[in-house]
Amino acid sequence: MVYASPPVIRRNSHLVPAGLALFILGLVAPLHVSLFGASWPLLWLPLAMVGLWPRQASCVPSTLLLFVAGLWVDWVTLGAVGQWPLVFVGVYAIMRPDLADPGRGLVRGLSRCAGALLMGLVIFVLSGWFIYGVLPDFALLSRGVLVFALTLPLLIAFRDLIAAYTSQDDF
Amino acid sequence: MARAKSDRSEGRLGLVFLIVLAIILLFVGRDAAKERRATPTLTADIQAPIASFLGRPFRAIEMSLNIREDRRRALEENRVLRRELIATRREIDRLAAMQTRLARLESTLNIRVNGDIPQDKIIARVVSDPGSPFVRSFLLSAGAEDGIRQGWAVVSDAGLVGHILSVGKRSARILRLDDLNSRIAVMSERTGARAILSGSNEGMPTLKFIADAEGWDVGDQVVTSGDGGQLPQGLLIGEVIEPGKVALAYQAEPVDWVAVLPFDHMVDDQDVEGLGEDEQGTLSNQNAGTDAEAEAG
Repeated sequence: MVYASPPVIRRNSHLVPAGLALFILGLVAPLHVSLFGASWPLLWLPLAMVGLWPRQASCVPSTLLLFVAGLWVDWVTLGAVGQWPLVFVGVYAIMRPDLADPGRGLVRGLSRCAGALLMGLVIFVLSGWFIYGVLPDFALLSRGVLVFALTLPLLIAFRDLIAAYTSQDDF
Repeated sequence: MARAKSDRSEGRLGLVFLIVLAIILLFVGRDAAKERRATPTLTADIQAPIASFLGRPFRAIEMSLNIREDRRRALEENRVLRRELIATRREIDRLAAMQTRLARLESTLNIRVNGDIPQDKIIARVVSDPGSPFVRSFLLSAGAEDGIRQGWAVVSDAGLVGHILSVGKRSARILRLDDLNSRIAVMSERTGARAILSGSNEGMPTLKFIADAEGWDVGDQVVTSGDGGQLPQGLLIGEVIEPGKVALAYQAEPVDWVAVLPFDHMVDDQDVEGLGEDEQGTLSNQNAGTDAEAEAG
């Protein structure tokens, strides 16, 4: 006997806080923090939001929002138009949070964000190489990854707080 | 069940469509992406105070960690500076005498000196280096309200950093010398040989369109040539460390405070159009004379 899992209740209203968070992180993304004579970019923070994307939101409006958010990040980072939409939508297409198993918490959040970052890095480096013909500054990229890793628990805790408040028991 | 299936196929279709659209955008804008477009000054104006705010706790941590080390270094530097001060006083006297002599010679020979480095400076703090790993730029905490204009040169203690790319109300963005889009007319301080310094996004910019290859050697100091009238002449850029490669002076230390040099560009055609008829007549006569000489030659 096969038991079908209950279908996820779609709540596109969850896209509002997610989109807002992505917009704010997109604004902060091009900034760097100077510490110990080196700059530490906040470039990867929006990608955490893609990793923690609400699973209850439908696929089509989610991807549209991610595409627009990508264009926004392109605009504020002076990047090539299409690079960040490709990263965001590409990561979403591979991870498909709307089809993911339910679950929250630090470990799950970390694993999803690590996956998002890995895929995002590959797409970003390859697309950048295609556009500019050069590889990026890997030292800068690594420092960005470190900043991403350090701020991740905070972002996950914040996201879980909002999710618990808006989704009640429906993970 | 059937609805879930249709949702999935719709989702897949949407995803594929948007990925293809992003790739098309990348293809279409590939060439445009290599030229830094006018930057969104509104977001830069928002970003500058955020960057300043975010950086504040980190600056405080850095300062508290470095306080003992800074004291020791300050004492050491004080000793060295005292010794240098004595030597410098003698040097200043000698230079003052030479300057007087030079000024007298210039006035005797009726030399017009142009392209000099401006004495006025607008001091600003680098609050962040925004952009992505493919963009080399800095964000300044001063903008149009402080008198900064597009195109002006920006220098640090060590040398030229770049020029102002866009100006917001309270922020400005610098295009650094190592950016892919940076092209600066330079010369060797030793020989005066000209070239174009071209950024490559890969640390060290390269010398291109070298007019006199023999005029360039490893160890030569590279300065702005002032050709094209966009930047003043004589700003230190760096040193040739291998043939065709220049180590930028400003990269020797972290860039914190910088000075923006107000520099009026040389006269262009639009300015000539605005001249009075007499002056235009004089100019056209001069041009006619030059053309006639050229034809005769």
